[in-house]
Order: sequence, then C-alpha cells, then structure tokens
Amino acid sequence: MSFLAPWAFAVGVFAALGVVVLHLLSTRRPPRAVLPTARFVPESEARAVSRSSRPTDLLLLAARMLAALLIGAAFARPVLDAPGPSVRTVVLLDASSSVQDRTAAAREATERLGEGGAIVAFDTVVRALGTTEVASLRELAGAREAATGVVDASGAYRAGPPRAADGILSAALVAGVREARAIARGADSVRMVLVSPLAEELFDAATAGARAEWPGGITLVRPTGVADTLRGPTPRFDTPLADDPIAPALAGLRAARGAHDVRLVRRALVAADSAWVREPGRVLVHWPLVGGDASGSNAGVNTTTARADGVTAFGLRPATLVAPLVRLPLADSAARIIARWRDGAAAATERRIGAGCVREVGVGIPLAGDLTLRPAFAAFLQAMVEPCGGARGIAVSDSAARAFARDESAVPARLLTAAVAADATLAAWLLGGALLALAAEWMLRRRRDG
Amino acid sequence: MAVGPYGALLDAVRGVRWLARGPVPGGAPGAHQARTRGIAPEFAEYRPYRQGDDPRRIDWKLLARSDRAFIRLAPDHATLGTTFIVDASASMGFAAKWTLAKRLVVALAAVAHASADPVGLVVASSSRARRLPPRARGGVIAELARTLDETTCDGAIDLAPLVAASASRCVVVTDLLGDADALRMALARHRAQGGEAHLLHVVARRELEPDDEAVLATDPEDERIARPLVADTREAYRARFAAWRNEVASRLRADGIAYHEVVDDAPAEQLVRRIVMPAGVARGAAEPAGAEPRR
Repeated sequence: MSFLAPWAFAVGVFAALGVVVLHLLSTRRPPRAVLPTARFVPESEARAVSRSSRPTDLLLLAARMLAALLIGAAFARPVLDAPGPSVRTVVLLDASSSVQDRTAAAREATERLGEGGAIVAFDTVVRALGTTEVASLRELAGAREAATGVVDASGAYRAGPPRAADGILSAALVAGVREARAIARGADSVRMVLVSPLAEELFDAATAGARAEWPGGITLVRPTGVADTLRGPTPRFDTPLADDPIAPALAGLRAARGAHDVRLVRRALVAADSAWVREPGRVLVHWPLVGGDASGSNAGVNTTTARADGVTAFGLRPATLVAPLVRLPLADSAARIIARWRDGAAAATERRIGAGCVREVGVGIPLAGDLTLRPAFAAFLQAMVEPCGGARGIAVSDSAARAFARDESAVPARLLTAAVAADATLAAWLLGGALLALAAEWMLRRRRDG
Repeated sequence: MAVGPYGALLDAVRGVRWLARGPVPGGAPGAHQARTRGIAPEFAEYRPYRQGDDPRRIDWKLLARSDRAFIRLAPDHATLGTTFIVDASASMGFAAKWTLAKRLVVALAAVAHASADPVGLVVASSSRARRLPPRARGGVIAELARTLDETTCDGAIDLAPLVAASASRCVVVTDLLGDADALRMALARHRAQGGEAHLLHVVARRELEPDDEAVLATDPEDERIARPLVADTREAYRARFAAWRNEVASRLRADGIAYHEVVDDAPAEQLVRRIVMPAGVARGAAEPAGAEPRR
C-alpha cells in the first residue's frame, strides 16, 4: 500500500507520537486512593498533571496510536500496490506516414513494451492500444518481410499503402503521460520510449509544452527507412529557358535536397499537363514569366509594374521573400492557399488533380536583378516545389533529437501517482478501523476510570 | 489469660502503674488516692470526735494528755473505674491505626487492671456499639481483646454521646475525624463532673507524610470528598493538617483533657509508658516520632 498524499500520513504519525508524549505527560484524573485526612487537601481541579517515565495503560495507548495512524492513513489517499515489475514502459509508436518500415517499428515497440506496459499509437489520432491491438502489433512485428499494413491510431492491422497522415507528437505525449500515470501504481518507476523516425512534421507549437509534462527522459528509437516524400525522379522543367532567372535557383535546389518529380511550367497550361499531373506524386508548378512570351498567359504584364512587396510561403519551413515583385493574377482562387502576400492576398495556390496537384504561383519575378540568387528566394522556391500537401519525412537532426529526448531516465512512480484516484474503499476501511480503535479506547478509558 | 497476640505487649508493660491524675472518689480500696480519709495505719491528721464516729478510732493517748477526744485520720485509697471508648469508624481502618488502637487499649486496660481498677470497653462502629461494662474480675482483658479483634472498622459514628456513660476515667481512642468538637465538649463536661478524661489521637504515618505519587485522595467516610493530592497541593495539605492537629491539641488541653497524639508506626509499649506518666512528667516528656511540635 502506498499513499498519494504521504504528508497526511506523516501528520498521523506525528499525532501518534504526540499521543505517546501526552500519555506520559498528561492532565488526567489521578488514581483514587483512600486518605482519611483528604479534607485537608486544598480543593482544586480533580484532573492533575501526571508525569510517568513508564507508560501505563498500554492497551489504551495502543488504541489511541492506532486510531491516529489509521486516520492519517485514510486521509493520505491510500492505494493498494499491485504486484508487478518495478519498471514499466510506455511506448509511443509513430504510425504516421513518415514511418516507412512499419514492421521494424512494430518490432521495436513490442520488444520494448515489457510486462505491464502500454503502447500509444499516434498519427493524426492518438489511442492507447488494447490487448487485442497489441497482439495484432506483435503479429505485424513477427512478419519476415516489410509489411505494408498499418497499425494506425485505431489499432487495426489493415493492408494497403501507408496513408498520408501527419503525426501529432504533442497529443501522443499527453496520452503517454496519462498512460504512464495509469500504470505507475505498483511500479517503482516508469520510462517512456518513442518509436519514430522523428520527422519534422511531428512537431508543432504544443510539442514543447507537452514534452515538459513528462519529467523524465525519453528513449528514442528511430527505425531505419524513413519515407522521404522528397525522394523521387529527377524534376523536369517544361520550359527550360536559358535566361530564366529561376534556373540557377533550381540547380542549387537539386544539389541541396535531391530531386523530386516536379514539372515547372513557365507558359500557359495545356491538356498534356493535366494528363501528366494525374499520376501519383507529381507536382505541376505553373509559374508564369513576367512579361511572358506570346503564348504565355501573362502576356502584356509589364515588368515595370514590379514594386517592393512581401510574400510568405507556408511550406515545411515558412519562407518570406521581400523584394520588387509583380502580383500575377491567380486562376483558381478557391484552391488551397500555400503562399500569401503581405496584405493577406493569395500569392500561390495548390489544387489537386488526380493523384497529383497543380500549383499556381502568382509571384512575378522580374527578369532583371539578383533576386533569384538570394537564400530567401531559394527557401521560397523550396516551398513551391514541395510534394503535394507539403513536405514530409524530413527527420530532425540527431542533436535536435537528443535535445528532445534529453536522456533515458525513468520517472519515479510517486511523481506520477499523485494524479491517480485514491482507493476510496480502502480509505473507508481505514476510517472504519479508526472508529473501532476509538470505540475500544472509550471502553478502556471507562473501565480504567471505574 | 488468653490474650493472643498481645502477650509480648502485656509482658512489656507489666509493672507499669497508671495513677489517677487527682484524688478519686471513694470506693473499694485501690491504688489511687481517694478524696476520703480512712483508718489506715499511716497518720494523716486529727479531727475532733463527733457523735456517730466509731469510738475505736479515738486516740486515747491524746485524750489522756489533753482531755479532749480526737479522731485519728489516715489517707484513703480507692479504685478508679476506666472506660475505653474506641472509634471503629472507617477512617480508623486506614494503615495501622486500628492495630495500634487495639494494642493501646489492651495494654492500658492491663495496666489499669493490674491496679485492681475495673476496666470497660465501648467499641463505636456503624453497625452497633459493643459495650463491656467496667469489671475488675480476671479475664476481662482477654474478653476486651477478643471484642476488639472481632470488630471491623466501617462507616462513621459520633463518639460524644458515649462519653456520658463512661466510668470516672474515660479514655477515648480516635482519629478525631468525626465529631471532634462535640467530643471535646463531652469530655470537658466529664472532666467538670470530676472524671478523668484522656484522648488518644491516632494518626497514621501516611497521613503525616503521604506518598509522592499523585492520587485522588478520597475520604473513606464521605465519598464526596475527593481531591487531587499532587506535588502542588502536598505541602499545603501538610500545613493544614498540622495546623488542625495543633489547634485540636490546644483546645483539648485547655479543657483539662489529657491529649496524646500517637502515630501508628510507634511501639505501643513506649506509647503506654508515655500515656501513664503523671501530668507534670508527661508535659516534659519527648514527643513521639513524627508528631508536630506543639505551639
């Protein structure tokens, strides 16, 4: 049995010690003794301070001490400790699309689960896995080949490719702390294991706060094989113009991040473009030239209309570009906005077509100037060529991961059990025992005083 | 004489004489000087012959020399009846008070009986007052001892009414925790009527020096009196008890009553010798151990 409010039990212990002291030094009625000359004793209060180095009425003392201790224990929010391992584990299993080899992830999770532990699977939804779901997970972990099944937040094992779902690490941390508190009863400590490639999209503004809720370290297990959505065929530029100002930036982008199946169109879109983009994973970026050629959709736009402006792209890493720019009209204002001008107007949109997507970029780049050579433009361009729905699977650096995990220390159970509901039945039994002890004390006192 | 456990005590007081504190009324010949004159061989004085005197008591030689008839008188001696009134209330059962009272009564009765004085006994207890009228016959001491041994201290009773029926010498053995004032007045009245009054005030050592343990002192004769005797009240108790004893002794002595305070741990034979001392000697005698000094 342990206590969620040990200070209350400490108060009971001190009260019991006080009872002992008062028993030895008490104002009580002294024992009666016959004295014929009692009439010459001055009249005073019949109760007098009596000091005794050897305790008498040991049964009475025991009853009083027992009552004090039981009352203290009852108010100390007692919980019965279930027998089990001293250290239990909470596994946070990343089930988002950033995990490529789910078999390895399931194996890592089940190997580290241990007895009495809990698994919290998460992508966009967080759920603690039950017994059946954990069995399904073990089945997946035992597969020889890399499984294509998904252990998603619902705990089901379903066939098919991984769904494109982001993970919410902050929600998983909150759920993990809750599960840790639930399994902390009866354990000495609880540790947390995160099985995830730790992609950047797992993090959001609430992650740091949720991480602070867990006072210990997190054992980070990063399964091999991250599903990098940026990896793909070499991009093709439909209109490779020798004097296109974007060309140098595209070259630098390829060198830095590898290739992606992107078609950059600097002219008006044709039917072939729509047919091409319907294939999975393809991105068609329609970024008209300022001033354009005769067939361009922006024919007639004068480069002299460029003026100082600002635009922000909401990619994996938000990028802001401040420069003389030309606002180009967008064809489909109802599409998903992926960049906005500084006044809130849409600067770029994304529209799904088949399995791919078409991006309309309304940010005109003047032909003259070194704008495209600046890092800010490279970041903006990176956001424009991200996969449909945004980039995923970019794992955080090892140093950032270590900073997130801190260490692998477990958390003492007493720090977690404070939030666990006390055993009201046990407290009631303890109070009942205290009442019995008080009744016994009353009877013993009556018998003693005659 | 079957006196049981009192044999050693009676041996210790053998030869002790308990003379009256003054002339006693005339009566049977005894050891005490009587107020009357008799015809004993020793000469005391002459008195002119009066009609009715026994002619054999005329001093004929003096008649021949002076031609006047004189009667030759001699001091007379008589016995002195003694009644012991013993308090057998519950308070006398405390400590060894009752034991001492019994031993004193038996010893003093034996001393008086040795002088041919009739001795009687009144045991005052709550159940009934047992009376043994004054007798001088043999075996009265054993009877007296048996009566005392059969008595159990219990309850509370007034002693003053018992004094009126006492013999000339009235000896009251009590702890004075009952009707002390009424008893003093009754003894003073007995003294004024020519009787001799003795009061043996029995005090227990534990009453003089109570234990250091804190107790709720309870009066055995009155359950309503229950007071804590603790360190804070012990000294006040001693002072008040001593003051009361001194006051009682002073009043009794002022009324001509022979007052003796006896402590229950003192040897009875020594107390007997102190009690039977003549008045002048007794005043100069040492006080018993444990007794408070007289004021």
